[in-house]
Amino acid sequence: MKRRITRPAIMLGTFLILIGMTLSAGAATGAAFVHGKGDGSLANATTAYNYWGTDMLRASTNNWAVPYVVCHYDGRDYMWVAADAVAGQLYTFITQNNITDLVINTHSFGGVVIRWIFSNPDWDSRYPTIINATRWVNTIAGPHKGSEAADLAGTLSGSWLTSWLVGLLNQDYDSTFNCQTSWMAYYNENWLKGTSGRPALPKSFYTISGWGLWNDFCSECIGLATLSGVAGLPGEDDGMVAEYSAEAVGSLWFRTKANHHYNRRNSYRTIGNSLGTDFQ
Amino acid sequence: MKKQILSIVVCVLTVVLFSSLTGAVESGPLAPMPFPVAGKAGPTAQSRFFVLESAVFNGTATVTLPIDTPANAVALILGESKVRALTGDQMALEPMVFEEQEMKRMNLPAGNTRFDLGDLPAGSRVLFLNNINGKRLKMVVSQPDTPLTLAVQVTPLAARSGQRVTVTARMSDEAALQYAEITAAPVGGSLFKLNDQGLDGDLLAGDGIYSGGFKAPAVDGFNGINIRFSAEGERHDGSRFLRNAISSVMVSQVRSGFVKENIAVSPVGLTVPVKASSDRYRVEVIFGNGETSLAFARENIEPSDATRLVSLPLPQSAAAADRALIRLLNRDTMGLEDETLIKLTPTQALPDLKTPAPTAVPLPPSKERAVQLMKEKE
Repeated sequence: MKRRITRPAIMLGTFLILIGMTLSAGAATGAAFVHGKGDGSLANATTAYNYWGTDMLRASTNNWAVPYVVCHYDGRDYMWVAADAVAGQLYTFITQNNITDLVINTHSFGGVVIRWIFSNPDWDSRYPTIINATRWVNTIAGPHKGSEAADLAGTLSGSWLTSWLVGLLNQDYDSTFNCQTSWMAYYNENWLKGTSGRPALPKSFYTISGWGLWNDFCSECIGLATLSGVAGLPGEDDGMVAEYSAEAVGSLWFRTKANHHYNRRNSYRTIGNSLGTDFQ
Repeated sequence: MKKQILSIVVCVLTVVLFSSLTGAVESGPLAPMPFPVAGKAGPTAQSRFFVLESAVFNGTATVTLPIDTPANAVALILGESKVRALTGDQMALEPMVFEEQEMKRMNLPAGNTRFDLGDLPAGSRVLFLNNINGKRLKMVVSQPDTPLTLAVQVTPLAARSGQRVTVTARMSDEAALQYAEITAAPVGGSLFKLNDQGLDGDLLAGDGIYSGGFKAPAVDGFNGINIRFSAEGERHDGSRFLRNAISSVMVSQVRSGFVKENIAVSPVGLTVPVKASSDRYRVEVIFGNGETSLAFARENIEPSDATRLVSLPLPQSAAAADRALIRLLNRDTMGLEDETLIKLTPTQALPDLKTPAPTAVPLPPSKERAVQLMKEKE
């Protein structure tokens, strides 16, 4: 028996579809967080979450107004290895939540990892989906031209006299090598987009650079001020990354007095509140 | 003449056919910036610090620090959190112990001690250190305000195994040094002395630029080789100095390459033969006119037992190009295995590329609000 569809039923159906589309459009916005380098524990989701801290994630998502994903990868890896792990998590997040308007927030080396994805869309079949779904990328203190502090680490790792053993045994972290200024000069010249003279990135990158050191004289602040002084970071810096390097791609969003320890948090300066304005 | 026409026709057909078959070509304009140079030098690294290592006996060590500019000078002792320091005239230095996660993230000890050296007089200063846990002491001393700097550079930044790598070092000071001895040691290689006598790659004797070189070692596909520099000597007033610095050369093991004599150019693009290899590659071309970059094109290629003909279109924005730098990048190793510069015949006059005064791209309104917010807080 054929059932006749009445006009009110059609109107109700249309209304529900429209509501559904609206909800679906609302759910299409999302946020992602990509941490910097570190040790193997950053491959763990909880460690990666704590890297940012609850208050930073809350503020950056505009009080949890948008769905988000905190990416996690082994913080010792090269950018393309880290990108493989990050791409998997971003791809799943995007496809499972129908995200079409993604804002990616990165800290430190995370900015280089994301730039790898956006520079090499043909590297991995998941990359185009990520790039297409992204509204823009915010990179906080990204060592886009490398970090003199990573150069210093290369100088200090192992014994000066027996350093060749360290090199042969590969005990240094790949990600630290990746952040040395010579290495980033090579990758910028050949593999990455977005720096001067290279092809443009397919989506906008907004940079936040840090210039403060002695934020609250915490133990981390002494360390960052010492690193800054010893490594001889040129110009202003946040203890790990000089501003010239953080601002080497995209458009400068703002500078902050928060040092490298605090510029991934919402405490000393309310960086998270600023990131949250992307969803207001 | 007929041969030339035939060659162009073949090239055009190849470009059209292969471009349409692969469909993986990416190309576009470049902002007018300096045209890249094959064999380009790496960045210059500047150092105002030196590293000292010392044996530890019964938890104590004695070091002599050549300090030329004490203002804002800092000593960092790695991996020690209880170490105490006394100067030669028994003045205790205030230790600042800190935990730095960023250092741990770079595979260095997280717990360290800092001593500010600003109150020390200039000259060779003895420090007695005690309460040391380790068997060897490692410290780095930085003098941010010193006029005496060591600047080092490596050429080329990207080398092929077997290629000569030239390293240069320059000591700068407020007056001519009495003498300097500078050595370099590639990690895994032998230490060698740099010279300023116009020998072994040193371009000009007595110009204050010290040079030396080594052969890029064999690597497993691709690797960056750190080169550690040490400089010591005497300043104009006879006081001793030490400096250390680091730089790197990125070394590729060649597994393929261009058949350069068969690279063909036509009005619509380039055909570049790439030798057989079991690796995956990317061919990237930067088009330019004079010293200015205009456009790029790139295409990925898969392993093949035979020479592959890679066809790259000439982007519209490259019509005024008179040269192209072609690079062969290994997607399995990240190495740069070949690069060659070829001449092109421009089909259009170079447009006026006078770069207008840079105007900041306006931020989206939401980001402008955030900037205001931050300004209020800062």
